[in-house]
Amino acid sequence: MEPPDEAADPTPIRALLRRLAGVHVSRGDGLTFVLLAAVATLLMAVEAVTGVLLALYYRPTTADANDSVRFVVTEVEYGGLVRSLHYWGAQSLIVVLGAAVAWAALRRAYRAPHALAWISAVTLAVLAVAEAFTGSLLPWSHRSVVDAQLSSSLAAQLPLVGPLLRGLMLGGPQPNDLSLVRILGLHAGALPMVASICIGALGLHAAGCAPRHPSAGSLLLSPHAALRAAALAAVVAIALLALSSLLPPHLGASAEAARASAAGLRPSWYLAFVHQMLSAAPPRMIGLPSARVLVTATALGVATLALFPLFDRRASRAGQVAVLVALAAIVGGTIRALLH
Amino acid sequence: MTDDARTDPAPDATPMARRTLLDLALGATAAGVGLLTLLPAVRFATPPAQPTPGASGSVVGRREEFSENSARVVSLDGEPVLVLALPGGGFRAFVARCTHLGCVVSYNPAREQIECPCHGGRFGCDGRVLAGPPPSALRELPVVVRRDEVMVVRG
Repeated sequence: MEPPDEAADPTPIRALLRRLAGVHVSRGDGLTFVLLAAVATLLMAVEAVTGVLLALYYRPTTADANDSVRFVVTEVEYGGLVRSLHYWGAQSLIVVLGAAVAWAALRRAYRAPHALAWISAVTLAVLAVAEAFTGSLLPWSHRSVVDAQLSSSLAAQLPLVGPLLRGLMLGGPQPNDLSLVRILGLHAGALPMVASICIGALGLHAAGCAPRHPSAGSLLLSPHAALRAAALAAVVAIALLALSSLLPPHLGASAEAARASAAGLRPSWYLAFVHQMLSAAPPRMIGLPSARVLVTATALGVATLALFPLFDRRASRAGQVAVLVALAAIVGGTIRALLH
Repeated sequence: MTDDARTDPAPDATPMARRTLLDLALGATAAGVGLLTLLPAVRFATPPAQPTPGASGSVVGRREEFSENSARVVSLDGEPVLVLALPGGGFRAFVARCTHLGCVVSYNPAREQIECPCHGGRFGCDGRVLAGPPPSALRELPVVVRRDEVMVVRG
């Protein structure tokens, strides 16, 4: 089975690495994919390392969570920087994965045989938002308490599974100690587990697609594309460090769940669009409460986007226009909501 | 695929149909096992229902502590309750959760309205929706004033 030149290699891993290094990458799409993957990998690594460090001090109870995060920021050496890197890394990851999805849509990279890669990429982008959001709940600040209440109410709007989801998320009718353990379980366990499956699928797909023979203008993955990727990753790392040092995220005080008002709070930027739609809607749409209609439509929209290659098997121009219009609406709606 | 067909011991049976059937059986078994695992897991993750407190009256303050056209949010059994001293005298109380998405509402004395900061829902002093996305009125709770004590009845 093994090609003759690799048969004598001492370890299969070294043989695989040598085979990957010899892969040829096209200057256009191939290189773009490698660069995007490098930046996303760097950011995910930052999130994993800083996340593990933050978990060393975190106490997931409503009474202690806020103090434990404050302790990290004010007392632990490099605590402020570690938290800031974790925060800015998460925000950047949403932007990078969003950009990757937009690029894939522009190149119609969901068409056969790339359906699995598209599904994995969109799922990763959605998971990045879910990670950022669940992470914002963990400090159990006033904002976290309001967001936990609000998001569980939003989840409850989904037909059939809504109330069940709300119960699973909160572990009771109101945010409580169980809610924090469950949110931590999602943030540090379940969501990263799904993300690893998607990353594995994307990696295998990319390795399977990579041509072994050069075409006009193609680059060797190693060293030519890898060096470019390393240079870009270094620039992103420096920018992330600068951002994290200059703009540490705010940590508000905790609040009693039953009296935490959202007055003076703005929703996170990645959810601003959803909240503006909810504010602008009339009380009822098609005979149902508008929140129920909008939340269900949003969930269906995201699921349709993720599974789009299954609906548009021939990758038609009209399908691409629909995807691009949907993405433009999300970006435009977010910018509009932030300027509002 | 042609290799499989050639090495198949019974070439007259259609290997593709057999494979499809096997794939289907495997898929159905996997789905069944998944479902059988998922259902108890969901049941496990749903906390057992706690007994809800029966009807009870809670004193939320003395009458003189409330000035006319003002309100305060108090926590009763972990639920926010807005106690409103009406502009023209008298009291009303509402569960202080917006009927849109459950945000805690507050009273705006200048507009004489109850307002939700999340999505701009506005309610009158009688709890009815005046503007914004809330689909229904705030849930009202009976208020009893006895010997200068303001009491909200829950249940």
